[in-house]
Amino acid sequence: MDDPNVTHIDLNALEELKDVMEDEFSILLETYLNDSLERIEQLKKALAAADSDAFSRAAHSFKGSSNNLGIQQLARYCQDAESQSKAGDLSRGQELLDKIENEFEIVSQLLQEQLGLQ
Amino acid sequence: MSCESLRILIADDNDSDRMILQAIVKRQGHQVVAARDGVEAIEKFKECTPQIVLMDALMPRMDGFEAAEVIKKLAGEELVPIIFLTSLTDAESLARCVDAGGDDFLSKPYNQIILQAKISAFNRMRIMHSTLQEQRDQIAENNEHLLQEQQVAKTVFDNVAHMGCLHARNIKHLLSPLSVFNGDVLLACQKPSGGMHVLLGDFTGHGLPAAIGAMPLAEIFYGMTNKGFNMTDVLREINQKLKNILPVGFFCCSCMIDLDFENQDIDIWIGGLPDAILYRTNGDVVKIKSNHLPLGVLSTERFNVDTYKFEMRPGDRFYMWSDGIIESRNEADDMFGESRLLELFQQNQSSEQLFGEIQSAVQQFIGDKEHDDDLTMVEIAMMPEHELGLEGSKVGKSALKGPTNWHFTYEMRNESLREFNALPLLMHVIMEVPGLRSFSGQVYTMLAELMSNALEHGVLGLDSKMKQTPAGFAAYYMARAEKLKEFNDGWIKIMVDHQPLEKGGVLAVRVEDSGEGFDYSDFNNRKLVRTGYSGRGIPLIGSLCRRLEYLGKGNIVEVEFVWRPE
Amino acid sequence: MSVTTSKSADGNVINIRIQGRFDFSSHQEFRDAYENADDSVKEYLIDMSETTYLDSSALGMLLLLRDFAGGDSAKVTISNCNHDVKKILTISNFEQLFTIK
Repeated sequence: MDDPNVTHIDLNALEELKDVMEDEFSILLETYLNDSLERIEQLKKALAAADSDAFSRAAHSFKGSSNNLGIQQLARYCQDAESQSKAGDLSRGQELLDKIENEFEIVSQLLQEQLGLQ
Repeated sequence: MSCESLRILIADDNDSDRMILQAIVKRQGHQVVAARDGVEAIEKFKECTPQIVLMDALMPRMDGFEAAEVIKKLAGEELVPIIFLTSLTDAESLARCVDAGGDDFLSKPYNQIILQAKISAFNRMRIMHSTLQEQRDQIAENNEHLLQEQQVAKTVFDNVAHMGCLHARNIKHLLSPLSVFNGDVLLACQKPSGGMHVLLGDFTGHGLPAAIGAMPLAEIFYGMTNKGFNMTDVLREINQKLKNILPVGFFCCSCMIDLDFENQDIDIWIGGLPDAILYRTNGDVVKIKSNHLPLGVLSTERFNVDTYKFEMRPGDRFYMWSDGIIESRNEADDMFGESRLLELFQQNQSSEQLFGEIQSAVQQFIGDKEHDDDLTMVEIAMMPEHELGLEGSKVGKSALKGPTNWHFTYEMRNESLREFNALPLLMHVIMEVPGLRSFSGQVYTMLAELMSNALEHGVLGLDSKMKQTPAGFAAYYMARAEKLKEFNDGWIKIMVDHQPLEKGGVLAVRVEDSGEGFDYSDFNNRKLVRTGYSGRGIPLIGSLCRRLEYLGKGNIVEVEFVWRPE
Repeated sequence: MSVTTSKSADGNVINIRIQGRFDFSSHQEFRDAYENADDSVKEYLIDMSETTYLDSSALGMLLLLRDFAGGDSAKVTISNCNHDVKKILTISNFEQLFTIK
């Protein structure tokens, strides 16, 4: 199921962003990390309320922002969560949420390192 | 690469996404206005009037679809491109974007090159749109302006053209309400001495260029007819005016008639219009062919005022038309043509009905086809003048009341005598007497002969005996030219006096010069003999006048010209 | 004012056309028109269709032409006069001296 070509973070994309954002690169990363924590909270709440719409919307947003930063694997999990819940199916909700949380742990670790390098 | 700096609204609830987009757009040299949801996007749009909007589809409070619709409405006729930022890929969502007024999509992750291309493409489209809009507005404005101008021109023209007597009972006419812009002109005016002038003109071209010549034409036609000028004078003046003012290639095909109710005849001048027709009560159809060039083509010297004169009995009718009648076409694009027109004359039972018959035949021929509105035609019938229904409405009769009882003295001295021809000036004053205009030729001859005698024999002291031989004749005029160049002390005094009679009046002229005079005892005894090639001026004057008398030492001559209206 | 001349094919008839005002100012031009024609000319046609005005000196010039052309045996025709011109010719009884058409 996991695509071996899909990495945690596309470093080339991140490099490009560093170039675009200039001084604001670290703020961008911090913003992303904070936003993501919020998205995970939203996903949890939606799942608890069995609200597939809210679950799908949060997954959609999370997917978009992750994609923008080249965070590929996480975006992929969000995509799965979005498409399943969009059809009103939350049966794999917990499983996907767990994957998302685990992957985010890894990604935050990596991004923290990036911030450290700044 | 970055073109002009634009104001771009970015609406996205996702902070990191918005930050990235903002950074890219700024880097490309644009100003960014940021919003976090649809409501804020609308507020910022109103506040900052951005030129391009980049908007996320899914946002809290108000989503991008709804906001896009509001923004498009606010933008009105201006094109404000909206590019949806979305990772939505299903057809339904994309369709919603389009329905909401979205112009394009941009998906995440954002690609700088694609974004730049889209922004500049939409900017070009936006500029093109606003240029088109400006041009459209400009055209609309110009068009409105033009219509306004045409309306004003038409009003002015109507005021000028409707002074006339087209409503007289002997006239039936067909003329488009906007005829002045298809170049057709129809004028009719009563003459102060009785009778009527009617002119039908067809200017080359359409629109304002065609209308422009109509004003002076109408002015001259009415002005001169009212003052009693005869038809040939009016035509000459119109021709000269049009020749002077119209560019080469613009002219006026015309037919003008002088209708004399008293003598029951019609004088016709026709240049460039289709054959006119005189339709007699006995059924005879007389075709009158154009034998002149249109008005405004020839110089005054070459302009020809020959006319056709026909007897016209009561009930006889005269028809003239612009080429619109003959050249009108039916659905099959056939022309109505002259033979169809002549057939109507042959089939006609009652000449009273003919005008209507022609009109309906042409309409029927054209059918439902939209016509070009230049079907201009007029019928003029001979009838007793008091039946025309124009009593009391005689055009500007009050304005006709020129002075009839007056006297003036005009003295010309030295270089004025040499360089200035006083005749037109004197004629201008004298011809203000209503009705005297018809005698302008005789008055002119009289004055011209008196003036040249006073100048040649009086002031210059030339002896007309010189003119007894052919060689002397030439020598006389050479001497005249030389003496005229040299003299610098002389004058001619002209006294003109007019007194009205019950009908007509008496024009008295006294010419005095600074010359030596001559022994006129023989002359006053009627013994003056013509010698050789001279001495014709005085008998000429004598035959025109009631009295011709020399006074003083022969340097004064008095004549009296008595005139009565025709 | 201008004077133009043309001749018939056989050269017997000369046509003199006077445009505009016919007065003293045209005497030289008018005289040249008939004096310069060759001897073959037997008949003179004065075309006044474009003559706008005629004064007494022009009458003198017409008489000069008549004498030049042989006096009482002269064949001079004046044609196409306008109303004013015709009136002056009539008043001066010129129809007794010229053929006026």
